[in-house]
Amino acid sequence: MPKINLKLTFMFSIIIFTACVTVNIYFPAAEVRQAAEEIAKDVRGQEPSQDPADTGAGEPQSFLNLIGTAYAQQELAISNATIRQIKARMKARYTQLAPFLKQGVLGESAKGLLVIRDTSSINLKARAEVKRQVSAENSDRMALYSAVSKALKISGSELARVQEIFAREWQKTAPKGTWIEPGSGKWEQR
Amino acid sequence: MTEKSVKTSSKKRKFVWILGIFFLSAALLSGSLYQCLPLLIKKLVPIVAKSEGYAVRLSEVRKSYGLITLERIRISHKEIRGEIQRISVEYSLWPFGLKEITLEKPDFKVIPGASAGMDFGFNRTLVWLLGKVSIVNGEIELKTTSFVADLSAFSITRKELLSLAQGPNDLSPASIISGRISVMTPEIQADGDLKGMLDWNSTRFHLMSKGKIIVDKFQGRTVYNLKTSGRIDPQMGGLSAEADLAVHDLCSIFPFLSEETTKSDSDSNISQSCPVSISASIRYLLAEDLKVSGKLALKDTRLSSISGIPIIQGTWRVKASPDLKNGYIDAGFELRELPISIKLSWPGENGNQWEAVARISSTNYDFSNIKGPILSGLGDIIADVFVTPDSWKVSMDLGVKDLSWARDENHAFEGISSKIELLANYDGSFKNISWKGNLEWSEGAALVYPWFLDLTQFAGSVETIGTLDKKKLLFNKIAVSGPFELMAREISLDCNLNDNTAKLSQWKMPKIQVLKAKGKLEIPYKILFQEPFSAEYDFLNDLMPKGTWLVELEQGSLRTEIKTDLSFSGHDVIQGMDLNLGYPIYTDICQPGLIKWDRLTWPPLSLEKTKIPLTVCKGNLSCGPIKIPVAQGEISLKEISWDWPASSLKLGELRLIGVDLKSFWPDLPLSVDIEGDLDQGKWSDPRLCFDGEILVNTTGGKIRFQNIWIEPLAPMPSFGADVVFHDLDLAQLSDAAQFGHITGKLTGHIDHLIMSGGQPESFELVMENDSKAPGPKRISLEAVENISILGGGGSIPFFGRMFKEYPYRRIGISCSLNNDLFTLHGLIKKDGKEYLVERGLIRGVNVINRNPDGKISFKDMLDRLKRITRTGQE
Repeated sequence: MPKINLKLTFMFSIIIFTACVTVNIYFPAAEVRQAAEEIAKDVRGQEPSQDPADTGAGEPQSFLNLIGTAYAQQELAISNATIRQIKARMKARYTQLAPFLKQGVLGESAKGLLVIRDTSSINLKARAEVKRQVSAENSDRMALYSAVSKALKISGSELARVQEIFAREWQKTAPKGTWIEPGSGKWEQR
Repeated sequence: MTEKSVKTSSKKRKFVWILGIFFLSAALLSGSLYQCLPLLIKKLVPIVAKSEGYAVRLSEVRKSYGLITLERIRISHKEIRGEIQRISVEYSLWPFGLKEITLEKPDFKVIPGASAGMDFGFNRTLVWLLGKVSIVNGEIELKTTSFVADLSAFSITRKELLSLAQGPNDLSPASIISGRISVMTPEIQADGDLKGMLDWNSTRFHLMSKGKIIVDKFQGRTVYNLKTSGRIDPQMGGLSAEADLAVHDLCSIFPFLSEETTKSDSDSNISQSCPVSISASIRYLLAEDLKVSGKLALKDTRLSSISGIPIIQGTWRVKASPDLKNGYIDAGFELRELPISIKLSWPGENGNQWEAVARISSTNYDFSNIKGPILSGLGDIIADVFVTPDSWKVSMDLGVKDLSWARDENHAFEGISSKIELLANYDGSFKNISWKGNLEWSEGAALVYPWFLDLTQFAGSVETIGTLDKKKLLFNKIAVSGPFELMAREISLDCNLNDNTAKLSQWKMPKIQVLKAKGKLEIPYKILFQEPFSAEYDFLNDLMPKGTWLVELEQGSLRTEIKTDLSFSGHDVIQGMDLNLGYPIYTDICQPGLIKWDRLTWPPLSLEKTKIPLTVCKGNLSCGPIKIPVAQGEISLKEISWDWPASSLKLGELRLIGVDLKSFWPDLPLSVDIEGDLDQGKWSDPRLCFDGEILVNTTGGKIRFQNIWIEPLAPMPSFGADVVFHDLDLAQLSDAAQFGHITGKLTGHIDHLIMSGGQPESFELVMENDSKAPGPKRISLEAVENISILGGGGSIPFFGRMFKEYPYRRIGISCSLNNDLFTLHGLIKKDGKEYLVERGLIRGVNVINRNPDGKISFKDMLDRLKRITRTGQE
């Protein structure tokens, strides 16, 4: 009888031990969404951002000012020097990309990247320029997603989820006429 | 009178008797003949036939009233052997004449004579299956029966392929052919039809043909002419063929039809039969958009002179033999609406010589006919091809207007206006192709992403002369003029045209004897670097060279010489720059190079005449040792080596000796000199890491930068280091920063400092005064206020403002930045409070952090720094 009890206890312990294995996965979706919303709106000028001149602090008189003058960005849920500067570049580039988004030349993909949809309405020179701008934009976007992931301590394997969240925000803030890909492979025009 | 009467009656009786005997004899003879007729026919027919060269044997001859039946008649001739099962001859005695002759089951085998030495021959037996031949009232009717026959018994083949063609399955037993032939006399005109299905090498052909044979007398001999038209539909996608064929004088094919007897005939050699003329028109309908029509004419020759193999893909290879004379094929067709005419002719006088001439000619040809929406534009085309067995020549003039093409999003051109001239010829004796080509362009644009070329701005031309044989492609001359000038001679490229699997990437480096190219630097810089990459690397927009480039092949190495001035954002950066590089192409000897400039100005850096020697080996560029005098000091680099196949960059022993920053910034309120000893830099994409440290000497103390790395090509260029500092004079530092006045020595460290794009991204700073340092420890009211501002505000009470300076016991501050959030802490912890500044023993000011868990946003910190700066300036 004691032997049987010992065996049962041992087996029960193994079942309990194996049953208690828990995998904790934390993906800060809310934080990523907030960052994506703020960045997308700021890049596309849909929220007022501070004038850089207001925070430029004039000519550097003290070496404390060596930190720089380009910090005049709106405070974000997630930000750092890389994110701020990439965002500033994207904002400057958006003025060149916006007409092509409106014409339906470019589309916002489900992966948070720009894709070229139809270049038949533009000449070869414009096509070359659009492709270069799209390449630069996508390079910046990927750097931005990596920087946001790093700031939120999201592992590289979850980068695709970050891209998807950003994709929704880019699509929401895209101008009318832009092709968007709400679901994989399904395109519609805003 | 009586005697005269008696004499007369006697003569009459005698005549009557003779007549009676004659008729009786005739009747008896006729009766005997009728009775003996079968025997006579049986005996006489072979004798008569033998005199004509035939051997005939009749098994049985029967007669009945008005009908003679001949059974199993065996006939043999030198080329024919066969048997007729039954011949029925129906006649009428009154009025005498033949009513009908019927041949039942005539079954002949045509046996050719020796076929050796012929291109064309019957090597099998031809089974002539006829159901019935009837001659009724002068009209002959031949009727075939529908049959399923083993037609593999019939094949026509070239003798070279004899063994192949003798395979039993060339034409499978599944083939079904039925037909009908009607022959009319006396003109002997026959017509008929043939339809069925041929299963040949597993490809099925549906065949339908109508034809007519006309037998005519021509120059005293009988000529058999055949006219037929038909259609063949093989069960292959989009392929059908129609043909009209007229064969004049069938005796050429079937020599037994010939009335002439020649020596060769007696030898049973059909190759020496009478001449034949054939004309045919052929239409191939290979696809909806390809129509081929043409004429074929063979005159005064024999069919045996031609051998050919029809290939289903729609080509027909024709080989002419020496005895083929004065023939030609003249065809015209339109390929994609492009008119092409081809004439193949063989004059005959030159033996086996033949020649073919093809011409393509069109004005304002619409190129969209060739590739639909991918290609568009108009062109004037004149192309001539002249081919003989030993040589060929091609000449082509092509003028295009508004030509546009797109392979994909990355490769396209549009609006091209260009002229192309090409002359090429193949010499059979030298077995090589020589050509001369000229290409001019004046308008248009081309995209090979990321490069875009506006040809309107860069009109030019290329001229090439060269040869090609099976082992070598040789450019005798390549000359380019336009946006740059290039002249190359004797460029040879080993290739193997026999190896179809050889790829371009497997081709070896071409051997060039002479190469010289030169031009202005602005154009290649703009096209190759600035336009394609400035969207990602913005500085390329600001950088602008102004000079010339020259590339020249010299003793096995490619020398590049660039002479330029460089400006950045409109300001001169480098003046009198001379870059001289050699790359070893056909030698393994490393080549020397040199970079020198007269003046380099990059505020605050300014360098006078500088020379940097380089060494370029295959796959490697290195330079050093380099010594550059900088700001009363020196930067020296023992070696820098870039190995591009391995993407490896090494920096060896980078040293900074006594570099005085004040030389750069005269307004710098501190004296700062830098020295460094970075032993080795290692590249691990995208980061370049250094061993060693950089030491900054200032205010009597030292700042050490260790674990230094940079990421110069990252989307946001950044660098990082760990920093340790000690013995920094707080008085000088605080004065220079206009932060107030603090005395004492500062020590501390910054861990994990990362600067991105020139801005701080993260760090962990710890700094405190050195408690063991001699001297007074005093802090001004202004400094206290500024520390207070950094910490978030706290006002100094009124009585605290009575003194301008206070003693302090200790200053200890830690500050970190992460995700644009600063945290600020005091290092001195007493009674549950965090002190940034601890007062002296008797008097002083305590600065206490009341919000130790608080975080300061980047923006707030900037605001606080601005307030401090403003205060300092006031």
